[in-house]
Amino acid sequence: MPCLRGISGPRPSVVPLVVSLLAAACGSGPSGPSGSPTPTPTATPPPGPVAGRYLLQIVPGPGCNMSRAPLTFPMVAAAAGTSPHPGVQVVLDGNPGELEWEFLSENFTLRGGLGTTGDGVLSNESTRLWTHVIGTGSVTRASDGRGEVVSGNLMGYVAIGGRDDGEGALGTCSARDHTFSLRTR
Amino acid sequence: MRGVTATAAVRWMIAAALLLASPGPIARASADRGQVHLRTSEAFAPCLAPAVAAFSRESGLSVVLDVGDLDPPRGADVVIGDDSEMTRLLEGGIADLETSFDLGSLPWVLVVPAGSPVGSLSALAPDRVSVMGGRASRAARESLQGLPAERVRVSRDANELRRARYALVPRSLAGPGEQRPSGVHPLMAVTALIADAPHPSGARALLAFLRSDRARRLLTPCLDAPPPDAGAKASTARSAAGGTFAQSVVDWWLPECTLTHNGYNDPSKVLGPPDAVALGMKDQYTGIMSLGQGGYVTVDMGDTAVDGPGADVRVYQETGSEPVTLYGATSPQGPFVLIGLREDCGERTPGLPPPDHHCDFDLRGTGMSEARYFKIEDGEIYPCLAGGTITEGADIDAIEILNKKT
Repeated sequence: MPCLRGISGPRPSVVPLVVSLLAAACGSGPSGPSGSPTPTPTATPPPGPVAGRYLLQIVPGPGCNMSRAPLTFPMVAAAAGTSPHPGVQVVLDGNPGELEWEFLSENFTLRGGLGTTGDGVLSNESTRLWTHVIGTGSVTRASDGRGEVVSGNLMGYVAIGGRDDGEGALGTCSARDHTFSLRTR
Repeated sequence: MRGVTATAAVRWMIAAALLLASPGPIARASADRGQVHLRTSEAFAPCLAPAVAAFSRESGLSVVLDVGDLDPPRGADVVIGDDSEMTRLLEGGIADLETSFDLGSLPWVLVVPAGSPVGSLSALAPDRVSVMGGRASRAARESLQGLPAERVRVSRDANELRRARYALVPRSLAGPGEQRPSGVHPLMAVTALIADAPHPSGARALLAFLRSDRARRLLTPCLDAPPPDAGAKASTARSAAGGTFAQSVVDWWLPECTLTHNGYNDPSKVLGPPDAVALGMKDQYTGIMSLGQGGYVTVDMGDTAVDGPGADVRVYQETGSEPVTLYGATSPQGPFVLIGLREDCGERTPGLPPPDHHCDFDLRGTGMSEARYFKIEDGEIYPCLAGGTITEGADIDAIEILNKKT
């Protein structure tokens, strides 16, 4: 089975495997002359798994004619399968079927579908969200070592309403440039 | 059901004529000695009254017509709704797929004051535009997304919608203003028997009546009868002449949750010409791959599709109108270019047994003049854990090149 295929559009940046040179008085490279202090490469460890408790934040695209205030949701993530590709499941903390994200997880990139049921899901801001989007984001290392997505892209349908409103009462927007973050908590 | 939906619910009884039972299924139905409960959504209710009244008069059965969300059916015997409202009922076995059929389509219209100049609603409407709400209105609401949200009033109150000076509504809910074409894809009225209908005999009699020419005549002033061979063109002709269908699977992925819960996970089922069959029992099909929540299958067509006249690629999808996203590439490694995002996939496919539907895609505007590899991705993106069927996601039967590179 081939690896994950590239998709056009917003592309995740290459996962940062930052190699920094420690201060070396002579400034020589790793293969520099002997006798001078040898610079030691320090590799930032790769991000750990996307697992545990997260905060999902969704921002409607810049072209959406509705409130673009971020909508946040407490989520829980866990590894989900390895074949035909490894996956990660991210669900609403306490009500997993109300807001569910099924990701394909390869090459430090998450990509997959985020959806709600016909009832939508209430955000921490008391705005109700209905969504069916494909999300893509690069996984980076959080302060506690786990993986997280600082900034990702969402393509698809977003509708919002008040707590007791019907779908889209406060706006509907299909776009390719909604954004999200999935940060550790 | 929350606020808006609940207040929109209307209930009215058509008739209770118990003396005029006629022969055939209607006569047998009268043995039920009960009411038949018909549940439908706001758009279709006004279209049904004449046919239901005629049925009631002729059968001696009373019919209670409930209006609101169809899922759950709330004790209904028969449901009538748009594809988007019926898909989960039919795929979940709540409604009996074997008994389902199309009653006709219902166009969306723009309503403006008579004599208004030509122009878009955003330019014409000085204040608010009203649009019907609910699941069946997603495309209509999307079409108004250029308007600031505060200028769009979403409502499921039929009377309010009819009073609106500027509105985007199904034709059945249009007020006295001038009606103009909207460009929004029409609703399709689909009916089916609820699997555990409390009054099955009467319900079957009502469905039999709705299939009759007499009922069709009573419905057609409101619903547009689907042409018997509408859209047949390319597909059936090309299929018969040896069309170009997917040859091999390059890649696929289904979430673990989908692999666990769905019953149709074999990617090879999308290869070759359309061959899906609904076997007549709940959730029983052959020849499909259900894509679950955001899953995909990437195929090699063996030939190259080019940007030609009309649509270039067709995806065959079983039951309902579950959306599909399509990407194309010239190499199996990609990059894959987005061709269509979450396109409703419910066009009827003449020449193929229902419920085989399709959706068409055009390379024009994608920046790509040709493609040989296509990635077909679920666009329904419904939470797997809330699914409840073994056919979650778009159910892919086949992929066909309509404009082939020569």
